[in-house]
Amino acid sequence: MKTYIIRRLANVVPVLLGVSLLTFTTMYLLPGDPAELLGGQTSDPEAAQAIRKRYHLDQPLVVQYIAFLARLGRGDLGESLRSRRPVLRILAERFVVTLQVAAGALIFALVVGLPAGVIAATRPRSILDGACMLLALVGLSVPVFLLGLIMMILFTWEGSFFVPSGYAPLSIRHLGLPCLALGTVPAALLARMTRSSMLEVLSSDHVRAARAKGLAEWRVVIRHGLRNALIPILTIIGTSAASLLSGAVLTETVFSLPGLGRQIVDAIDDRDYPVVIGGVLWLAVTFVLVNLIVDLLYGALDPRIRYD
Amino acid sequence: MGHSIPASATISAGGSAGRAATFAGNLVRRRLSRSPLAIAGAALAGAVLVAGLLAPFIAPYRYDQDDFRHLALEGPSRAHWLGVDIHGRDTLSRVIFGARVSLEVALAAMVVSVTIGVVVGAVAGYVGGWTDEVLMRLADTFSAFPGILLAVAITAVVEKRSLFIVFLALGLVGWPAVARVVRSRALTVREEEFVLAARALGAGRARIIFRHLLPHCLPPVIVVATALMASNILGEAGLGFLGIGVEPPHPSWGNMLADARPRLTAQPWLCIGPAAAVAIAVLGFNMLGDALRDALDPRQPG
Repeated sequence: MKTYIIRRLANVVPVLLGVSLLTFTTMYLLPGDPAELLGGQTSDPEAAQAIRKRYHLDQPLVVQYIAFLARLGRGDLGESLRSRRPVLRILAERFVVTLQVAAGALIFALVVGLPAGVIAATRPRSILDGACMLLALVGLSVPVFLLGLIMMILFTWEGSFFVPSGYAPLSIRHLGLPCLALGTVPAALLARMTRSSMLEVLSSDHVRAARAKGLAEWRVVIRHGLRNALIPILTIIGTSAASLLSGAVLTETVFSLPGLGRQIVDAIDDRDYPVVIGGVLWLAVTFVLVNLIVDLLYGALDPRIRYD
Repeated sequence: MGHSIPASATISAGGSAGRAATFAGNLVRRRLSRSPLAIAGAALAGAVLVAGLLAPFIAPYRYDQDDFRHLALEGPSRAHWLGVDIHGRDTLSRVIFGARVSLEVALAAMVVSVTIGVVVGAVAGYVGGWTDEVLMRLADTFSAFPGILLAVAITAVVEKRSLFIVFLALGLVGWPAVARVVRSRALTVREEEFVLAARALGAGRARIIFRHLLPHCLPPVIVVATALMASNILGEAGLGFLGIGVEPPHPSWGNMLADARPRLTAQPWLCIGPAAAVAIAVLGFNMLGDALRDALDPRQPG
């Protein structure tokens, strides 16, 4: 177990290096001079040169990248070219917003997707099963931003409970609809995976034994069936992590939320390199960490899975 | 064999898999023709395909043609079933032409993903060792990299809207899924005896991978490729919504939705067409993918 964790952590390093290099090179190739952005109105070539020098923008790519890595090693992502504030602090502020929406979306997915999958699996090939699975397929097929727009039309009006745009921390009025929109795809995925793994478990010997000894059907389903369905839930959390985090760009655009995705897109427009690179790295680290935790939890939930 | 492999063997075609593939191909075809999911999916995806291919013949108007007899933003009428947009263009015609953009991008990106994914996966699975390690870390890197942001960044680079960027971004995001599927299949197939036989006959690595290994890795790739079509159509719509993709006045479902956004409550018909089109196309490919997965699953009865 310990060696497994160490090996997985060792795998994380090259992946993050790769992501940072990819981002760094793309940003380096971008036309548009950040020095002009910083100089603002004063088109003084000397001032622009001084700015380039200060941020090492006059150095070749390799030198800039190595300097970046060295600073990263000290936990320093630099400062924003636009606001002059530390990148890490900006990202942390924005991430709080994205995290709330992602967490809300995941809770929505659990509350809706899990029961739907269980109900469908206990009555396979019934009308209820068909309806649940068709709904799940439709949920997978509608773009997130479209769902957001539809919800906006349906649930917001002058003086309605939900607010169509803007942000307030932990406010259901502001974050409720974005969570629903973003949570629909994970909910649909979860319902499908729960159904198929429950179907498999419910036809296994230990469930037949549980039924044979006269346990109530709900007890069989919940105690003996659902426990085994925890694995797909984990898988969904892992695979949805990426879409929840980076797919949040669209949701954040539709609902005008000041989240991490929106910040990165805005920073690309501003040529604010440190924020873009830091932001993409932040997303990648979160994604990799979530998947690492998910993999470790597999073993905790299912003793048949061993790491060695 | 070689010369007379029937068309039905295409599912897992290949020189070394002749008769067994014919049998499996028949089985898969029978399963597909009996599956309501496959028929519904093929109908939906097929409708979108036909609309895209025959757009100039089906569409009642041209996608960039103003109809001056009707006011801009006019609602649905007999002449314009889905109304006209702010430039007086027929929404229905633009939805039909938009199918071309969506399908072109989705298909091109899927081909990119499958090509890279199949080669990387097969090489990683067959060669193993350090090669495997490096290639799979590369796959991890691309799955951890947010693809939408990549597209936004590249669009900023070239300072021009272009479909090429969209399909490149989507293609680069999609290949790790293909690579993982092919690799896991290659890991089992490489232990088969016919691979050993080929090696004993002196076949080189490249020949074994591409002639003997790959044909057996293809069935799961078909499933992933169909799913990629669905997610690419969604991806194109999302990027178009963010203002990345075809240059106006060319219609894409994404940029039509972006245009319709500020007029959602006043002129809802502007968004119904492209929204329904995306949903139908994605639903169709998702259903096809599900049906193919069931049909290719050897554990399924019948």
